[in-house]
Order: sequence, then structure tokens, then C-alpha cells
Amino acid sequence: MNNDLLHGELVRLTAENPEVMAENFSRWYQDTEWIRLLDTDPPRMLSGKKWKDLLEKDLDKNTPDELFFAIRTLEGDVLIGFIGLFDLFQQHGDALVAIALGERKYWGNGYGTDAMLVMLRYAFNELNLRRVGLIVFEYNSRAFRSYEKAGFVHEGRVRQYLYREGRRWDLLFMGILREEWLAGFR
Amino acid sequence: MLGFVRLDGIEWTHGTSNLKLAIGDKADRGRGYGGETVSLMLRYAFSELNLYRVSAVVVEDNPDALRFFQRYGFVEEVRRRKAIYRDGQAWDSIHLGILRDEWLAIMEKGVPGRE
Repeated sequence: MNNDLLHGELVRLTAENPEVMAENFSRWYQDTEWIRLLDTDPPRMLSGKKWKDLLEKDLDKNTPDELFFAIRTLEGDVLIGFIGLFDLFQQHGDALVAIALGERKYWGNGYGTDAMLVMLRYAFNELNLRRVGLIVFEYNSRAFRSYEKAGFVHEGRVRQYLYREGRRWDLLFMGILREEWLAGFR
Repeated sequence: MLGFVRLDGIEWTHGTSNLKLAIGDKADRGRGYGGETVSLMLRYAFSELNLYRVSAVVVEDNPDALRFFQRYGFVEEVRRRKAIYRDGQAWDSIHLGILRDEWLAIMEKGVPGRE
């Protein structure tokens, strides 16, 4: 049995102190193009202090329906982003996953996919979830392709949800079932 | 009092919202109260709040709810497969949506009702 649950081939999932996350978040969140790939909320600027206060409250709460990890590279130990499970409905065995790599240098080189596979292994082999879902924006084709590679199946689109740059975009829903994970990846 | 209706999850920059409706007593269902409530809420959402879309979520083990929303113009958009586990079985969670243009078209043709 492979017990190295939170290590992949390129990254590991970690917890970080609020000051560390605050420093990274306040830098990453200045990249509004990145926020528009991640969040439906309009980007707004928060000071380093505001981030620290927010994260201090947020990271230490022990809500059973959320699990948050920072992503660090195995080589060089660079903090490149975050990944988490949300809306964990314990009795249904279902959760939503969200991942974001704030360090653009690490896009397109398998780091995101590796982090996702670590997260899915944890979700299916340790949390024993039945399914993991996600939402990706129609204009984020890079992410959509990466999720397909990780085994997610397209489940439909919430039509014209996002209104940005003068036009509307769909929210794409994807999901991977436990049996699909076991068949493909283990 | 028959039940409740709620429009929540409003994202103002996108003009989106989520509708929840429940009639508590089985004897009060199938009598047009839900339908009239949905019609009122959609008119409020689109004509007063100026929203662009209204979503609804139902579970596969409730086919009456799915048919209900479809009757009033909601289109099935997403099946989150086996998202709900109840009574020893896995059921899909179904997302539906109606856009303002679709609602306007229905209003033009006359108030929707039973077929």
C-alpha cells in the first residue's frame, strides 16, 4: 500500500502559515487575468494585511466540508498554487475540487495535473468519496483539457452564466466517479 | 401557509440567481400553487431585479420536480452524476436554467400552464 498520500511526482500538498499564504495571495491576486479564470467575483485588490487577516480566520477554521492545501514543487520547494475540496457532503460522498496555480511559470508542464491526481487519490482512496466534481469557465480551455486528461467527464453547461467583456460565457461542469477513477488510475 | 420560495445565490455582476421552491403538504401539490409561484418569481427576477438567468436544482429521485420546472420553461443543463446518495441508491443532481430571452418568448406566447 502506497502511504505517501500527499506527494506526487512533481508536487506535494502542504499547509502553510497565514503570513506565507497572504504574501503569495496578495501577489497572485494582482494578476486579474488569473482571477478571471478562477473566480466569478470581480477582482478587487486587498492589502497584504487584509489578506493575512482573512486567511488567519479562513485557514484555521475546522469546517468539515472544506479541505485546503498549498501546492509546493518537490524540486526547489516553490509554492506555486493551491488546491482544495469544497462542499464536502459527507453522507453523499461528493465534493467539488478547485485548483489554481498562481505562478504562471509552472503552467503547461504537468504540475497542475500532478497536483490534481494527488488530490483525487486522496479523495478516493482515503476520504472514500464516491465522486469529485468541478466547475470550469468556458473560456478556460487550457484547464478544461487538463481536467479531461485527469479523467474528468463533461457533465453539462450552465448556459451564459458569466457576463464579461461584453458577452456571456457558460460554466462547464465536470465530474469523475469513483469507479471511473479506479478503472483509469488507481 | 403552503410552503416557501427563495431566490438566492444572486451574482449581480452576472445577473444570475437560484430558485428554490417547496410545498410542504403533499395534498397541496399538483393544484397550481407551485406554478403560479414560479410565474410570479420569474417575473420578479426578470422584470424587477433585471436578472439574466434563473437556475433550479432537483434530484433525479424527484421526477415531479423535474417535470414541474420544465413545464415552466426551465431547460435541463447539467447532470452531476450520482451526486446524491439516498435510500441505498445514487441519484443524479440535475441543474436547470431559464434565460431572460426564453422567459420573454414564453410570456409572448401566453402564460405557461399544464399541457
